[in-house]
Amino acid sequence: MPKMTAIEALQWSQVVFQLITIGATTYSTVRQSMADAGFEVDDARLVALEAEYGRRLERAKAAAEGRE
Amino acid sequence: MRTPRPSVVPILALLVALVFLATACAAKRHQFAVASQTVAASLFAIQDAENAAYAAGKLTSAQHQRFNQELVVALTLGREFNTVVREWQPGAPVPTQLAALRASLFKLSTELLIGLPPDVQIQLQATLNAAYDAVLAVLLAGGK
Repeated sequence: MPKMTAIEALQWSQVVFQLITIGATTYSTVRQSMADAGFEVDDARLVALEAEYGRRLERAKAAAEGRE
Repeated sequence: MRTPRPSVVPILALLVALVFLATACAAKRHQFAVASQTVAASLFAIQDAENAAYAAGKLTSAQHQRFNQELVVALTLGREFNTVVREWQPGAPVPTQLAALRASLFKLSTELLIGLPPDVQIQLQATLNAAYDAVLAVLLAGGK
């Protein structure tokens, strides 16, 4: 196994620190881009639509079968 | 023997690529979600307009029944599309329900409007066009 000098150890610790910083920045950017794209708002709206579709379908089925 | 000099460039490039990919996927899902909301609003407006026309005595029971039989198909497809959009994963193709929904809307706007009073036809046609346009826009874009 190769020996690591003090300078090399320092370089590696810098790399680890940079990776942590980059990772945190990436996570933050992705979260922000998803928020900008309305990801969570879309979810809530799509769930509400699902329920509305159910009610509307019941009514349409009743009319289609002449029960209305 | 010295350890190789560490480099963060490849990892940085990979992370940048991941950010672009995540942003593109979120935008595409949003496009589908907006289309689903437009389609739903149009389908609901069609149902309300048709019910109002029937309540006002402008449609016969047979016309009302026949129209609702196709509306059940359109609403079912609309709900399936909505469910697919909710569960849509990056990389998945454009939901197939869209093509069937387009055909159903076309049938509603051609076959089933014929014979209805002109004012009802105009009202229903306008809402059907909005739904049709929303579906077509996503299909033509191919989810790009």
